[in-house]
Amino acid sequence: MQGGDRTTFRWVAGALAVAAVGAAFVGAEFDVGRLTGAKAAHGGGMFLKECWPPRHDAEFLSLLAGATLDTLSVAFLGTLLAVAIGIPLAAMSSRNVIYGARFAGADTPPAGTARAVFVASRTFTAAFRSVPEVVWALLFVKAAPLGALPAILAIGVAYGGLIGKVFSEQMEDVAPSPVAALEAVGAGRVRTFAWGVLPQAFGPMASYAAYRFECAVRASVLMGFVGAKGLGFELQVSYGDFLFGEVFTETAFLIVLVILIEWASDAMRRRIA
Amino acid sequence: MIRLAGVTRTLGSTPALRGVDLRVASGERVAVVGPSGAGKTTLFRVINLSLRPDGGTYQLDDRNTSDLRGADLRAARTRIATIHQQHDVVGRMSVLRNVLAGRLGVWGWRHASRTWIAPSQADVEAAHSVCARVGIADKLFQRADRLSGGQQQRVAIARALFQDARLVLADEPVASVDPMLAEEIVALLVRSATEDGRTLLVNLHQPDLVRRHFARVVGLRDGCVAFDLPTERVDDALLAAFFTRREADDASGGAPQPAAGPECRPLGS
Amino acid sequence: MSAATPVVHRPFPRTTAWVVAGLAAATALAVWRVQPDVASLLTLKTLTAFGDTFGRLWPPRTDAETLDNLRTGLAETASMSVVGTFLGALIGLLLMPFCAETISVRGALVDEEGRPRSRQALALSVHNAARLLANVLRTVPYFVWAMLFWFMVGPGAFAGALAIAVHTGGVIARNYAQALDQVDPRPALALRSSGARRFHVFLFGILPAARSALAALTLYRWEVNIRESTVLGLVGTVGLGFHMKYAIGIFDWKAASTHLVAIIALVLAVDALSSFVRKRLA
Repeated sequence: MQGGDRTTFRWVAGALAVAAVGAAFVGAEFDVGRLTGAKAAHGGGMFLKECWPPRHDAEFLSLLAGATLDTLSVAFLGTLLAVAIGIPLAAMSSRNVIYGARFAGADTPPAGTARAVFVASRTFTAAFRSVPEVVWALLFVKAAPLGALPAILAIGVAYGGLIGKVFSEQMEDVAPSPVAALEAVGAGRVRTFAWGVLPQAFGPMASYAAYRFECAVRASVLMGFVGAKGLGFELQVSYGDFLFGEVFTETAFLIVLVILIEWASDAMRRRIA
Repeated sequence: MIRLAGVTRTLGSTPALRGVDLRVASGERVAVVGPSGAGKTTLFRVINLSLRPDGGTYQLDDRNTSDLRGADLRAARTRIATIHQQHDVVGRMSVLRNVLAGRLGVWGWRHASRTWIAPSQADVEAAHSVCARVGIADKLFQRADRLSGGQQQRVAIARALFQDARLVLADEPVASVDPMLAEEIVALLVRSATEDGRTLLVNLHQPDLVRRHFARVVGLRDGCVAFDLPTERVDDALLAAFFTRREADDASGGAPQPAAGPECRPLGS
Repeated sequence: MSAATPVVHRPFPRTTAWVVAGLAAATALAVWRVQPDVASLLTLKTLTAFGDTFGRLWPPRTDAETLDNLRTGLAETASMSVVGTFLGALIGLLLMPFCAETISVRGALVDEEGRPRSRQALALSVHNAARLLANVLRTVPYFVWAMLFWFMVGPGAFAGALAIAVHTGGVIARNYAQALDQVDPRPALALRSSGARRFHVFLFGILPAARSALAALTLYRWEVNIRESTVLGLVGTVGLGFHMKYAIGIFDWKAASTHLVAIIALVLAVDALSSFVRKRLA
């Protein structure tokens, strides 16, 4: 009874999902009363009232401009490092690169060195991306408190794993016949990759890298909370001192930054496509 | 140049080649014909060292190819240029880079790396003169995917010429272009091979092109060599039989059904 | 053959040159700004410090107190992500019909011909308002929302869940609307021409085609949210992230390690569960 099994599965899965969501509401101490109560209204009102007027003197604005530049710099260098880590990982994780064009879709690759490299690089990629970037930053900052470097390294490693996975999917998606043609010419792995796979995957790769840069900006703000310089650090300081007028301006900077970068990377994507 | 003896090859569960004997001398130009599913493409892939035979021997320049691995295999491949039906130029790269890629197997590390970044003037001029021979000199710096299908096929030919291999294989080079262009491209292939003294194997579907350009025809059917004759001794009926797509094959998904036993027997010797 | 004219080759087309120059300038500016101390990083001392730090993580601590923290941390982090995703999806579902162009301003549900001008203008402004709202929810980062909610309901999992929910609502409303806009309009048009009411056309002509995409988007968002709820702990005082940060703060590496392992396991488990369900839906 295939249909019956399926129905049973759906009921069981549905019941489990409902139970899980219910349990989560309990676990998160969900209480609408706390949100609608007088205390919340008072707190929220105070927060909003303190937000106005936002602080906008020249000294503060130039401080934030510098902090924005810090945030952007960390995000940019982190993304650059992530791409540098991600491309080799992706190449080694792509079947058509490591095994050759004829194994592009094969499920059972041949054993040997190539397979060991493949498995190792997929493992590393998975390990890098399973730890959130801020957690990496926390570890790196304790190991080597070297200014912005731990934050850059953290973005590089965490996003290197993400980029490695996505780039390798994009590389495995390229048309196999031009790659096979290069192999037939006698080109080795590296050259087949550089002349056949990389040019074909370039468009999607560039647009994913741009998307990762968007994420890196947000991540780089977060790094401020674990000690890196930048907008996040200013935000944390202002919030800690209950200076919500400053928090408002900082948030505005952040939003404008995010919108500008989204807009720029959309424009870039349209050009590449 | 090449010598195949009893070459068999199975793809999946389909016996694609069932004992092919074929000798081609250096500088010869041979047309390979046969209905779809006869094993022509498989034969070409064996000859260009993309597939290994399951049985039999394949000698390239008097050297057995079965034990070629790694660098030796790549070195052997540099001596064979292959032109495919379509879609094997890299669309995002310029014509120039696609043509330059023909010598990737020959160049050393330094040469290949510097060419990847920016090719030398000498290489650019060499690529330009090859493109001029196939009539796309003015397209040298254009992206390959901006070109028409016929022009892309010329890029593939230019790459093969630039590779400067002594053996050129063209697997249905004109299957997807109109008759006028087909004539031009085949003439171009034959002319350039003759001028440079290259060995040329072409897999074709058009009897008139075979008659006009080739002195020797090899007929392939069900993974076997059915005939191997000078063109003037092949009558139109025989040739026509090898060009009609057999309805039964098409209906059954094109998989060749072995008509006779597993071994190949020469046709009416 | 004509006299050999040299082939003029510009290895770098103008756009490529500009892009490369722009990236190089950006890199230079960034390096100048943050002055990354690569020289100190690549000393033996620093590299040993990295080794030491990661070496100290082993073995994870498993005493009762750590495990107790682990239990509450896991429950809080997981709950925040689930509640945040669930409420976010609700917000998204509410905003979705107004954010989707093919539902509010044109397409199968709208009689563009028969509609009075003023009606269409109203629809358009509701559409724009909904999109603006979604964009505001989306572009204000979740940790800023968390700051607001911490202040309103006190720091804890509830505030975190609300923050994730609001931010997710903005993101997912946009994603949902895009999914609806991509639905093949022909079945809906057919229903419409058979005289069905607009709500029913939406229910039977559009929603079924988008259903699995909506579910997949929600699950994908859950994968993102499990990471965000971990991070909320690092910047706030709740869940696994907090326990880990606290342990590192007092140099209790082995306890930090326990929480780190739990974070990785949780993230991987959510990824696996989500992709399993998505595959079954597809």
